Amino acid sequence: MDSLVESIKMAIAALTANKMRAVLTTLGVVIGITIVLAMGWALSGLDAALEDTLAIFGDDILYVDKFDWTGRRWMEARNRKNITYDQFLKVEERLQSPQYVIPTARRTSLDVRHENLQLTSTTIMGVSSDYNAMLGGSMAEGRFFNDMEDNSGAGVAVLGNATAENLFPSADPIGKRIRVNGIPFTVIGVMPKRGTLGADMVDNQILMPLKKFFSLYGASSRIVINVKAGGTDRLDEVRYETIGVMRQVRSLAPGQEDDFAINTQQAFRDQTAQLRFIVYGVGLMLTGLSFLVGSIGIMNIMFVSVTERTKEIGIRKALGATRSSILLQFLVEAVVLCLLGSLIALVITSIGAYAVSSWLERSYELDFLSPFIPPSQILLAILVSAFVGVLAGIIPAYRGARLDPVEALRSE
Amino acid sequence: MAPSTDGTDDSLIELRGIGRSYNMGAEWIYALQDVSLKIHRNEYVAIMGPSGSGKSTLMNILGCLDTPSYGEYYFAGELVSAMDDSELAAIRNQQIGFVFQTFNLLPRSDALHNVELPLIYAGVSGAERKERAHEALAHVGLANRVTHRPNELSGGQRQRVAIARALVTRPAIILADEPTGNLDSRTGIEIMRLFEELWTQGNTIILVTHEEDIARHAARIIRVRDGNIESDEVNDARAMSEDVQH
Repeated sequence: MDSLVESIKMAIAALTANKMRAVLTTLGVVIGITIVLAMGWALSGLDAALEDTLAIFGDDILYVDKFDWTGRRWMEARNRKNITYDQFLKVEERLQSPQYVIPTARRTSLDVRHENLQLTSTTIMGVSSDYNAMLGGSMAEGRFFNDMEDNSGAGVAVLGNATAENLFPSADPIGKRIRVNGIPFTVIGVMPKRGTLGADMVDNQILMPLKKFFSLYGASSRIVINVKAGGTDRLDEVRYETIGVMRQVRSLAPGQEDDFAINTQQAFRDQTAQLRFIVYGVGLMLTGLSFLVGSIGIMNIMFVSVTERTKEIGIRKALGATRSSILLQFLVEAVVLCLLGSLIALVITSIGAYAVSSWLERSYELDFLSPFIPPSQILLAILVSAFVGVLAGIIPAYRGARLDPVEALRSE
Repeated sequence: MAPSTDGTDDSLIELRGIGRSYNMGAEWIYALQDVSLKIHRNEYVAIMGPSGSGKSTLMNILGCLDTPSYGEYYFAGELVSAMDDSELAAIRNQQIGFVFQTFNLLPRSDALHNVELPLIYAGVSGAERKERAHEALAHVGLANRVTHRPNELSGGQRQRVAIARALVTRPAIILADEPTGNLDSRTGIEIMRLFEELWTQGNTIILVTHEEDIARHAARIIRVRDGNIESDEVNDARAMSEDVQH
């Protein structure tokens, strides 16, 4: 143990004797660890954002559409018949297991106005009155429309959070009038902010009673049925029942394939899992590459170090140092070098993380990136760099240990 | 394997028919050929010879820095010539104290740390180490130079640090290779006086030199030439001067 402490002291002394060289040598390691840490940090932030995004879909909701949202068999799906409102009614009647069954229809409007402000691309959603209840029921302002407004197809609108901010930057939207494609609506509520990264579209919408939607866009608009299972453990059961009922309602014969799709959050998760795998893979490769470069640098400098100190090794051996002592001494030096590199990388990455995260939050209100590097990653980086140190240092250290003391003492 | 005892003595060092050859490319160099000798405790021996005589090779073998090509080397009754590297390292650490011509101190460490070094390799704990190192430095008269680096010390002081380092593990022998070679004559005399003191205190001293004046300090002179022992005699000049003093 004592000799380990001694070796560490000697390693630090050797490094401080030549600080410039030590720092330059660790450059490769610094870059490698910086990449590792930055990647880990960004990915965990993105993962968090992804989770937020997926959460919008609700982990226990089935979206029954003629299209498969992961893009499978899209050409074929285009030719399928829309799910109609009538079909929805039948499905709603027959389904027993779910918590909610809700019809939704969607279009994009190029013309949403309030006084002299115009929005050129807003999602218009026609839904039933219990839509917000399915989502959890909270409102940022005002209220959702009720059964009566739903049945009568009243001209009332609930604004998504971003739409409200864009159309009413300074005023309170409740009670005000807007026009969608020229048709007047009264704003009765504003949805809470639901999206983060790529899913901010969900805040850029206007919700209206489905009947009113039909009067704008026609009654044969494509319907997506939202089926909320009421718990992820019930998903399979509800899915099973839904497929059965849909097949009935769509009059499919026993051998025929489904002409609709059940879309879930899990399907997206699986898709993104592939993407994440690729990103991780590329990141890992980059890291591996820079570690390779870094460890070559370390190995190189360790060879130089051993050569420069050949005489010193001879002296130590004459005084009784065993081969393993010499080996340990130089190995520790290599590891300390690598740890120095990871320390530098840590400082750089921490500053960077804090700066980038603050800037993103200030300029874009994106808060998915944490300003701090998670301790587990720091630990991993330290362990990996120590490992690289041992790997890079072992050959030079071994060479040093095996020097013949007589020859070594003779050298200059 | 226990050495065969002649039953005649318990010599500290015994060489039997030691030889050392090197292969330098196409040539073979026979640095030592069939050397036999015995050295006892508390002897003061000088090994003398011109350069190329094999005296350095002999010293390296005595100091367990090098292994012989043939022959046997017994140190305190144990067959050293058959030992492996870590056993040899242990002997160098605890039984042998080296003093070199060029001092060979670690330049970046202070005197105390230099003297400590053998104790570190011996596994002695921190507090005891420091104490013994202080003691050794005091013994050679450098108690007030403990924190100085080699480049802050004169040649004579450096060699004294080296001697303190050689003494710190209380070794069986002190092996000095041209200890005054890099010193001026006055400092050289001081150092030889120090060796004299150490000998009086009971240490066994083996001096390797090519200078007659230095060799004459020893009680016994072994002359080496062309890889062989030319003569091995008591130093009459010294014996005589001792008589005169008494």
